[in-house]
Amino acid sequence: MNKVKALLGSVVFAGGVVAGALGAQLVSPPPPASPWRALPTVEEPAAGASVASLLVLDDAKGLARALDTQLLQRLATAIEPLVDIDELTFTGATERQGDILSAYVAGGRSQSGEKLIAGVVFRVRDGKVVGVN
Amino acid sequence: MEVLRALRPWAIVFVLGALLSFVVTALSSGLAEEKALFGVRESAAARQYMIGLLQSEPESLIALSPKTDVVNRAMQFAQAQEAQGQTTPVSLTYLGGRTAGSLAVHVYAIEIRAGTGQRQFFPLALTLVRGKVVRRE
Repeated sequence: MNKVKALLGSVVFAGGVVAGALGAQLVSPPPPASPWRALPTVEEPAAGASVASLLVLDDAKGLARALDTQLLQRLATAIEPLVDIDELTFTGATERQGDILSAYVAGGRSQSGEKLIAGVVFRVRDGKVVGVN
Repeated sequence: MEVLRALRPWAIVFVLGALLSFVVTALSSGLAEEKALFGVRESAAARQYMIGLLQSEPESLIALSPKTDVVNRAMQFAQAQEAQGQTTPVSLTYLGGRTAGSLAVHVYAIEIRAGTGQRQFFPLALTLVRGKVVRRE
């Protein structure tokens, strides 16, 4: 009788576990379907990776050689309010008519020391970074 | 009444299992998301915001933004009216994102066709705090 009770208890507990996991999934629903098509993703362009590594290495001279003043200003706006960048993670890229948009998320600290993240996107054309958002 | 009393211990076992599983699932999926162990799942709020933006739906944008004053909300309605029909979205591509605590960044590539027929292709990075879009770059 005790064995039956223990088995039944385990089954009821397992049922609860399944219900709880399903409940947790319901709390964070999937994104709604997009009415538009999605472009295929492409590999990280070398030019984007190169600028990204300069950012992580804190290489101001290298960045000044790689990007013109206008692009540097745009990059400064994109990474705001980060002053120290610890990591720059490539998240994805897509291409349209020769333009590759290469996306990254920068993680670091603000002036006050707060840990933050910011999105940075490089536009790469003909193997060069020609835009920053 | 007797039946209810007999079922009570089983109901408690069921609720305990459900609560434990709910907490463990929520915590582990949050941690996995932050460490990007299995990639970052696109946020429903971010996608909804992008759809609202491209379809010029100020109600969606206001609902997914931090609370603002009436003048700011009026400006969003006015901008949406002006933007109506000026562009046609062609594609919306999710380029990934990252979460750190309550902060999340989701990046999209957008392709639109302007009224003149010219196509534009540009990125948009959304920063969300607790499901509200606090920055659009």
